Amino acid sequence: MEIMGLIVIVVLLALSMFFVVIFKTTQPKKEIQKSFSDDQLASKFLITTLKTSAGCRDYTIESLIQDCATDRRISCNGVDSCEFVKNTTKVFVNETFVKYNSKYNFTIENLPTVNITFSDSCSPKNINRDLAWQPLTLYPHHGTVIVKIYICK
Amino acid sequence: MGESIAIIVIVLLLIVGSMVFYAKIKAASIGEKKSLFQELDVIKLSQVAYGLSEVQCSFAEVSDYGCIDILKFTYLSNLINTSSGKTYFYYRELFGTSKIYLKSINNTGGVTYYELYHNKRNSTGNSSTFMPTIIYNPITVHNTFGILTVVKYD
Repeated sequence: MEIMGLIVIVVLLALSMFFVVIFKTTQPKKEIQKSFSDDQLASKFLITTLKTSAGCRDYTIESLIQDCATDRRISCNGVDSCEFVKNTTKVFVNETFVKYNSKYNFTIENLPTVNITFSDSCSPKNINRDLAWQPLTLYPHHGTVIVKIYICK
Repeated sequence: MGESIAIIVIVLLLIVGSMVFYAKIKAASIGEKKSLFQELDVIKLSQVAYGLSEVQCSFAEVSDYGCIDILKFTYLSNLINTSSGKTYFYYRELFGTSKIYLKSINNTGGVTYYELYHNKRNSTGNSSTFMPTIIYNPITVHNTFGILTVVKYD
């Protein structure tokens, strides 16, 4: 009879331990730093990239994108504005996301002649962690260019 | 008599087993809390470094958040690393055991490093974070692409 009582106690203890282990292992791990960094990274990357005057006289990347979408008059180090923007943004993306192992998708939309998209294991359709985008007006011309960056899980 | 002793032994074994189990769970929970606080420390330090008014660009006495004046940055770096006494202790209290440096990247991928602060002591592990920032040079009046990296030692 005492044995039955002991078995009941053992079974109850085993069950409670089992539930504790299940509860602990199924809880999602909090990634505060990663989530905070990604939130900041997307928007700060865009702001910094657009305001950088990357070695083409006093032109910022923003004004070179606007020129690329309209007249293509500006030439930097022997290449036109579109090619210069493509090469420079690729360098920045590599130094920021590739070196730090972040999955990303960087695009400049609505450019009439070139397609500027860099991506690493991430597309807008994937589950993404964070998105930042910046519309650039082409005034006095028509239209808007949109610079977007997704950072994926 | 023998039966009673056997039951007492089994119950004691169960109690000890439960205590060991509880201790393991508690240790794991404390480990999680520790890494959480370390993460919060890095975030806090990165915000302090990113918004450090001593090195921010300023135009017409208005500071520009998200932009680092490279002349102010190198001057502050010299000040911290060559001074002793009040200045050094002020920044040691602010940054603790950490490394803060700026990476300047030009359009061809050329990289220049500027270290602001480094105090490692006897740390074993570290966690780090980085943020893109504009590096402004008031002499050439040019903005360069930069990455501010903060490494917090445990």
